[in-house]
Amino acid sequence: MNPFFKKINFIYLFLGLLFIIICCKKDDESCEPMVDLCDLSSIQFNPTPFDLEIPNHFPNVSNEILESITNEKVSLGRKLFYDPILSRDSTISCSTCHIQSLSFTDGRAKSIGIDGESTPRGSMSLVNLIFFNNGFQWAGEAETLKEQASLPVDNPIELHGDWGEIEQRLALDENYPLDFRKAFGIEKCTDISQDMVVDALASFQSTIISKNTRYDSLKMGLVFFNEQEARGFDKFFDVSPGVIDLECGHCHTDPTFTSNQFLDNGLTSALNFLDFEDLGRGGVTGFEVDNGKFKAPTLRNILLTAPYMHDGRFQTIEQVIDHYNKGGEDSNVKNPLLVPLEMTNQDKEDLIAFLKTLNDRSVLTNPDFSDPF
Amino acid sequence: MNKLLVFLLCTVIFTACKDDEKTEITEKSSLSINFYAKMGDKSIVLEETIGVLNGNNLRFSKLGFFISDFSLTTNNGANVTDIFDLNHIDFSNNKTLALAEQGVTINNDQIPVGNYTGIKFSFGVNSDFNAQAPSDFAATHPAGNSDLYWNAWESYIFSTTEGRLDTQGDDNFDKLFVWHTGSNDALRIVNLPIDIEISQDEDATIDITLDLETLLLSEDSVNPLEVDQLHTAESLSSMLMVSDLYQRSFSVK
Ligand code: HEC
Ligand code: HEC
Repeated sequence: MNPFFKKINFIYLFLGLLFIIICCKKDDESCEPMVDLCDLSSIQFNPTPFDLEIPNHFPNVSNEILESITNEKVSLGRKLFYDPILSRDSTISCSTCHIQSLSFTDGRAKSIGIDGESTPRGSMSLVNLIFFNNGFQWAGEAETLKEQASLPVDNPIELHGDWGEIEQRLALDENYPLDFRKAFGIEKCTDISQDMVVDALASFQSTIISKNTRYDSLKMGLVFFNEQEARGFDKFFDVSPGVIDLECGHCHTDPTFTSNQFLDNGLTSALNFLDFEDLGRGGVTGFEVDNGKFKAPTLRNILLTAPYMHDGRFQTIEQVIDHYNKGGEDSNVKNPLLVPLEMTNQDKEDLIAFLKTLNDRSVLTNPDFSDPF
Repeated sequence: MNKLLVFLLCTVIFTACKDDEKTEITEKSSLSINFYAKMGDKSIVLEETIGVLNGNNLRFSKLGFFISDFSLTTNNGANVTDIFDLNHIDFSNNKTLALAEQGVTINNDQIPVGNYTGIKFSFGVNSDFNAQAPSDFAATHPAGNSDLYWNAWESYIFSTTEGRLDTQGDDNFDKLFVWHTGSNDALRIVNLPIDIEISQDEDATIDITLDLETLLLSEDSVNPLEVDQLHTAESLSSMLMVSDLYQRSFSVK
């Protein structure tokens, strides 16, 4: 919305409140507490740091980020994530397209937004976002998680919300002003801002960490892989000489199983960089050589997040493996790791056995990540 | 008399000390090192045909390498260490000719002023860093990037050289190659002569060129048509050859 109108809205709100104050004062005293609803200064603001408990084998997260995450922001962010209040007509929320039981994807090739329209690309898992340092979404449209959180709200296909209106709704809600006070120390309900909303959403999402896979247990020395899992691991990461190298580990890097890079994994048969319908990363950077490149997504919980790829073209993991096995489509611009692999059925089964060790049921069932309403 | 002697002695020591102190407070200035990736005299733009290899048109897709323990030699033979401990020189920004010609710059503004005659660095990740892993570092540290670490070797990937060749002359770049080097055996020391004065008045710059003609067109070069994948223990001997060739591919302009 035009910032001018946003201001005007605030002025109306303010005038409205003023009016209430004045008329209340005039009419009867019992009206006074209603006035105080917007004044939050008497409520304690005492944010407490959130304890993330990141295992040793995970990348470091800067203290600045860790310190910015508080219990109060996380619990507010969780409510906002599940609350349709952020959409234009209060019908859908973030959780419509990011469903906990599907590792925060939605099981669709393309997501369905507010007016039943399809998004251009498929939804993405939201695990381990706190470790991503190279942009969010398939093409890295947002540099930070906070920045990302405002995109679906603005997006006419997704939530199609209006920030000015959302700020007002939240200010007039019976509970949110208190939550914002606790998280951000605002003085009045009208202090609620877009920046606080996205900060809270980012904080909540930062706590969705997948760290309880069998793979993690192996890394922590708590379990051993069975023979088939071990073979799959070996092939995925090319550990031992003499074993087929499936190349996966170059782009789906341990321990997050994403390299945070934008790469062309051979989905499009392209003679040159102009042969892409969805430009992917190139659409963001404006460089032709970035066309057709997409984020290599995490493979944690991958067996639970079909269909696959940014356009959801593959229904099953077997189709994905067949794609890599043939080295992707013929292309002059695909990543040089995309070469025919000549996998046997045994190789494929071993690979799937390894991918299974990346399942993390705790993400799907953790009550802290669930709908608070 | 004795007292006088002691006094004189003291003054001598005192003044001498003062002089020493003066020279110890060395002035510092700024030094930028620019790295350029070239094929002969052409700047390498990623995914653009850059040259011909055994009759096949060649394009690079990805280029980058670590350097560690960058030091300078002064004109009286002393070494100034700790200039850069570890850097990843990454040419992924070579997306246009203009960007490729800009090169990749690293900078240190705490270089003692003086005259310098040599540069020394290790091509790769020194064994101290290489004994650690990305989870030991902040994500912003060059050693904190898990893409640049290869679990199977328990080593950082010292250098990445990836590209494609058109073997049929039909504009289809049908032959892909991926060369990664790593492990302590692949570390190589590079010594380069320079003649540069670093002074307070002006920021100094050293231009280092990596010429991939040396890597790919030398007599002992590894042929990417024959060795297209280089990142396993199976290809160790080729990997060491590639490291040797890289060592010779640097020069100072
Ligand atoms: C209509 C469905 C829909 C809704 C609603 C939605 N998302 Fe998404 N989300 C998507 C799609 C589709 C993508 C991929 C977008 C792209 O790359 O073009 C995505 C990507 C993301 C990503 C990037 C993940 C990564 O790995 O880079 C984050 C984070 C995210 N959404 C968070 C949210 C939040 C927070 C909300 C609520 C404010 C939200 N989403 C609402 C569909 C949705
Ligand atoms: C060159 C880098 C690269 C290599 C090698 C690679 N991938 Fe990928 N992978 C990607 C990229 C990039 C995507 C996203 C592509 C897109 O949607 O446009 C992806 C997507 C996927 C997906 C779909 C993820 C999702 O959420 O939809 C799966 C599954 C997958 N890869 C598994 C594998 C396996 C198994 C291997 C080894 C056989 C492998 N990858 C090798 C880069 C790579």
